[in-house]
Amino acid sequence: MELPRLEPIWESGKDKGVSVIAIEGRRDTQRAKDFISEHGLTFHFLEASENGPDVVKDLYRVRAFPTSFILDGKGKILYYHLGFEAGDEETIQKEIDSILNQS
Amino acid sequence: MSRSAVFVMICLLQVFLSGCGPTKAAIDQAYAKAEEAYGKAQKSDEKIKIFKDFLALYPDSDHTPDILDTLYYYMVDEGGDAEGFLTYMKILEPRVHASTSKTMIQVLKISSLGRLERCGDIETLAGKLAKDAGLSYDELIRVAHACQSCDQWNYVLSNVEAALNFATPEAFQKDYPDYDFTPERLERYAGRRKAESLALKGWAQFHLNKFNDALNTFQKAGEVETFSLVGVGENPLNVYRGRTLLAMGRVEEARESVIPDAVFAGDKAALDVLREIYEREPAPADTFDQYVENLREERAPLASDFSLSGYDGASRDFQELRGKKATLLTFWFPT
Repeated sequence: MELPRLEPIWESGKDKGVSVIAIEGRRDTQRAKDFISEHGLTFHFLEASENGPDVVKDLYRVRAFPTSFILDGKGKILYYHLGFEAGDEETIQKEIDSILNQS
Repeated sequence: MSRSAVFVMICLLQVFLSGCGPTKAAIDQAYAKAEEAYGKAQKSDEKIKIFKDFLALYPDSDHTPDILDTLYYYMVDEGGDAEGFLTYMKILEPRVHASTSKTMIQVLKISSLGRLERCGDIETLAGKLAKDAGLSYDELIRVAHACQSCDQWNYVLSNVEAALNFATPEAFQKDYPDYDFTPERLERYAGRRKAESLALKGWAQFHLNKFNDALNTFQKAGEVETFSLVGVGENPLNVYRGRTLLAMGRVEEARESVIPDAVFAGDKAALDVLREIYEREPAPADTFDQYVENLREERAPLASDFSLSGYDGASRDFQELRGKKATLLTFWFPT
């Protein structure tokens, strides 16, 4: 439900050097695809893999979905959000704007 | 004996065994109907009415504890009407005889009283409950939280200590007999219980001025939890630990304990502790907000690189997808 709220962040940011990437953590491929097309989402989508390092659990130590990270241009994690409630997209937008204003 | 006489006897036996009330099948059928209507209902008021209507007819079925749990959610958690819920319990209580339902009513009454901060009443009820010891994990935690809102820390402590006995994979499985969990999942759920109850136990010890015991308990709780990349916890453990260290005068450790939650997750309670420390001994920053920003710059970890496939099957490097200025990386799953 929360994911479509990220679309405006991507729409308004993609020409300003902002990227939005969503990683689906349970490999629920068909439902993920349906969800993405049903809501017309156009940002980047990746799927967690059974092979290689565990990106979700080990690299990012995510234990609950959704979890979001906001990075600056150098790849430093400046903000972290566990869960997603109505209104969180505004907080996220503010944080992204503050990164844009600083660089 | 004639056939019809045997038939009548069997019927009488059935009535005797089921206690003259509606049969279990009839209740289950009515419950299935109520559940269906509940699922379709849009507004909380409608949902509440559906279940109240069901309980008016069948106050004493196996479904009563679950229904009460749901009613509490809609009436108190969401609706904020603890007073109304207590009034409703008064009406329902004399009609309920099954022990699990009776216990549930006591627990939810205590929760409601906690909301209303009617602390004297809580003390009376919680005292009575402690003796009968039949509470489930969720019920013990509920009572502990209610006692917490009334600063009755001895009760918080005894309830979370009892809750800790249920923080095992076996106990978790026993609470959900209809579910078939993998061992890994059970381990995780048990760990979550353990982390939650240990954090609250240490917080009670802190309030009872047992600072060293509290720190030991937080240490144990920390060993259960695996923290996220930026060191932000799921429960208030870091804040509890920070408060305890601060009370002991160990300011530097207190600061370190709350920095991740305060700086990276914007956790209000953690920010409060950090602000207190900042005001006590101002750091080299003009304002508190500036101080937080400086910490963010200094402490921010680098995001790890990786490659994963997109839905077109092609593998992508995170490096290439990242924004030149900023990136939002979200982990999700379709609901």
